[in-house]
Parts: sequence; structure tokens; C-alpha cells
Amino acid sequence: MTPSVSDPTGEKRTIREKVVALAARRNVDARALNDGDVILESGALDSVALLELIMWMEATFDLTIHQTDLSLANLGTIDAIAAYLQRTRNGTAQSDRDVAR
Amino acid sequence: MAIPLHAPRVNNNDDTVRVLRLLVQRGDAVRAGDFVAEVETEKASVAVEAEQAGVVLAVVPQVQDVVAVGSVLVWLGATIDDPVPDVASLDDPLVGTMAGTMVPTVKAAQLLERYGLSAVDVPASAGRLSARDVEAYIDGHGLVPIAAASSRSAPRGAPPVAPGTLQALTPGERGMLRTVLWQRQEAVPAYVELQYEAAAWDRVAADYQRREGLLINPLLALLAYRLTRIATANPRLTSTLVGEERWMYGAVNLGFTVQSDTTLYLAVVADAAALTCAQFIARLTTLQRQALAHRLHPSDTTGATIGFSSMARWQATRHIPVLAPQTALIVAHASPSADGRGILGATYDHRVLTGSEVLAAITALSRPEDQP
Repeated sequence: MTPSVSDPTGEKRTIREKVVALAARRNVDARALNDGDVILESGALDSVALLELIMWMEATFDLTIHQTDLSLANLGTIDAIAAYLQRTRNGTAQSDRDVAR
Repeated sequence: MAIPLHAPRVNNNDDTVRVLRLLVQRGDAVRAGDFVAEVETEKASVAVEAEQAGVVLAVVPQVQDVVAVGSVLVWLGATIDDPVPDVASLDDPLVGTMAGTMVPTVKAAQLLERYGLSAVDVPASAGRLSARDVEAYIDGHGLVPIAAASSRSAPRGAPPVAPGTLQALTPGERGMLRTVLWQRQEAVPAYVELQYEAAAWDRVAADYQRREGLLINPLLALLAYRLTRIATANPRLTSTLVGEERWMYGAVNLGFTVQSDTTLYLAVVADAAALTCAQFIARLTTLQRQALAHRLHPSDTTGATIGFSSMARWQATRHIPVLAPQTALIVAHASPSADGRGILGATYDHRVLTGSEVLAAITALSRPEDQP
């Protein structure tokens, strides 16, 4: 994992690699996916694959993603996911959840 | 203090379960959620999980024992030195209760199983259903034991000629086997389908997702929810046969198929008609997450009264699903063609429903403009 200015923790790259791997299982090449692209709309993942991504995030980042956090605003793009992880660590996910709704 | 883990009710009509596997032994430390045993009926098998962390003090039954629903399978304690309550003798009452009927003793439960009876069939002479009660009933009705190889069990065929090895089925595979056998041996399955404008439903789902800011495309959940409303309007869709009488279910429990690895689950949204659309979507999504993680609670996979299955994910353009035991209808959703038209189908029990009323149901389902 190589951190960059826009991805200081390298998490975006980790997430992107997982999305690409899940997409490959569906015979979809998602290597061109940008961090700001809406994952579902891009066709990289379908709804079930998105749930698999959620499960992987919970295991990888040791967190519980609340049902009400499953929003486009929180988890729709790689950028959004990285920001959500950051907020979760800061303990502000609840307030953001309310904002997202 | 010792905490009991009880044998769960797997099906509405089965008052006993057979112990398939015991996954712990005395002295084992378990965490909340760890599986400690697996039990089955003719219709389904479920894993029994520890409700809290502890140390196994005692394992009561043995593998292949038939035990009453509510009886103690495992005792847990805080330490291995916690005392275990006296283990009941064979004809003592079992721990636990069964709503609406008398709890059979272990010996009575074994007799019920041997003669293919249910506890509700046999009057109890006292507070508990005893072996003597069952024996009296058997004598009075001139009953004989059902054949060891029950007609509801999978036939044990001769092994193939080509060399190979036998492998035990997983719990999920055994569940599927029972489902398929129920349809073959009990139901009279038939299938109807129609073409519809799938693109119209896609637009409805996209609008809903955008409006609610949902991460997950709600198309299948919306279709399934719509099916619960249709079933509410026509309760015959959630009925089955018991002998020559129709059993009208008291709730619309929507069974939704979820494939996780090689296991196909039927996740059940209980009393779905009582939920709002948003509540239904949230509940179904939770069940899908649990199924994908193989963490569904046994109670979330039993009691379906109607079914919904989609194979659109695999680009299947048509599929004919198998009915869940004691249901009369399962709707089949498939992948639409490039022109936006798709096929909605339904497998139904022709003993219970007619093709025309099933067609009317899926016609209503195909029209998103009727979305309540």
C-alpha cells in the first residue's frame, strides 16, 4: 500500500482493490473506476456485491456499519467510504448519519 | 448458575427434533453466537447457538436422539464448577413449554416420532404428555410404526457403478433436499409466467433509491413488498393444505432467497404485511447481510408462508423455483432483456391455487403503477 497526498492512509487504494476484486467475480472490469464514481451506477458491483463489500469493511476495519448508515451519501463512492471510515474513527458517524437522512 | 440451551421449534407442526450434531463437549468455552448443536425435523435443520458466553457444563442428548421442543440440549455455566441441575429420567417431564399443547416426555416424544404422530394428536391424562398416554392412543387407534425409511425421507439408492466416495451433506444442502422432496411428494407444482415491462419497475426503484438516498438498489425489495400487499388482498395466496382442508396462514411471512457461497437461504421477513415499505426494505437488507455472513438466526429461516426468488443477478432470463415446504406460491424474477421487457413467473401448488389466480397475482405485481 503506497500512501499519497489524496490518500494519506492508503485506505482508498485498499477499498478500490476490493471493489475491483468483487467486480472481477462478476466478470466486470472495474479497474477504471474513479474514487468519485458512484459504485452501483458504474455497474462495478450489484446490490449483493455491495453488501459483500460492507461485510468486508466491517471485518477489515473492525467496525459495525449500522443499517441506517447504508446510504449513498455515506458509502456510495470510494471517496465517501473513506470519509465515512474517518468519521467513524472520530466518533461522528451518528451525526453524519442523521445529516445523510 | 447453570443456563440451559433448549431445543428450538423448527416447524409449526413438529413437536420434536432429531439431534444431528453436537458441536461442544463438557469443559468447552463458548462465545455468544457460537453454534453448539444442530437439530433437524423432516422439513428443515437449524443450528443452535449459545445465547451468551460460558463454559459447557453438560451436554444432555446424544447424536440421533429425538427430543422434545423446549428440552435442554446443553447446560452452560460461568465456571466448570457450577452445579448442573439433575438430569431428568427418561419419563420425567422435560424443561420448557410448548404453546397450546402438552409437553411430551422424552419417551413419549420418541413414541410420537416412531408412529408419525404430533403431540397435538394425543390427549394427555395429566399435566404432561406421557409415554403411557401415547401408548393408549396407539392401542386405541390400532396404529403401527411408520416404516423406518419414511416416504418423506430421501430414498437411499444403490451407489453408482463408477468408483467414488460418499460425503455428508451440509445443513444447507440437507435443507434444500427436504424442500425439493416436499415439493415432489406433497405438492402438485405448476408454473405460469408473463412478460412485462421491467423498465417501468426499474424506474420506480431508481426513483425510490434517489428519493431515500439508499445505498442498495431497492428493486427486488419493492417487488417483494408489493407481493406481500397482493397476498394481503388475496389470503388464499398464503395458504396450504392439511389433509383435505385449507390452512389459512395468519400472517404474510415473506421468504426471500439469498445465495451465499454455495448455500441457498430462504430468509423470512415475518409479518411483512404489518411493515411499512421502508421498514420492509430495512428488515430485508438486514436479513440479506446476515445470510451472506452465514449468521441468520434459525427463526429467520422458518415459517415462510409465501416466497420470492430472483436469479437476475446471474443473468438468468427464466427460472422455475421450488416451493418452500407448506407454501403455495413462490414468485420468480429474472433478468430482463435489452429492450426492458422481462419475465415474471410463479411456481404454485395446484392443490391450493388455480393458474388464473396466480396469473392475476403476478399481473398485479408486474404493474408498478399499482404500487401502494
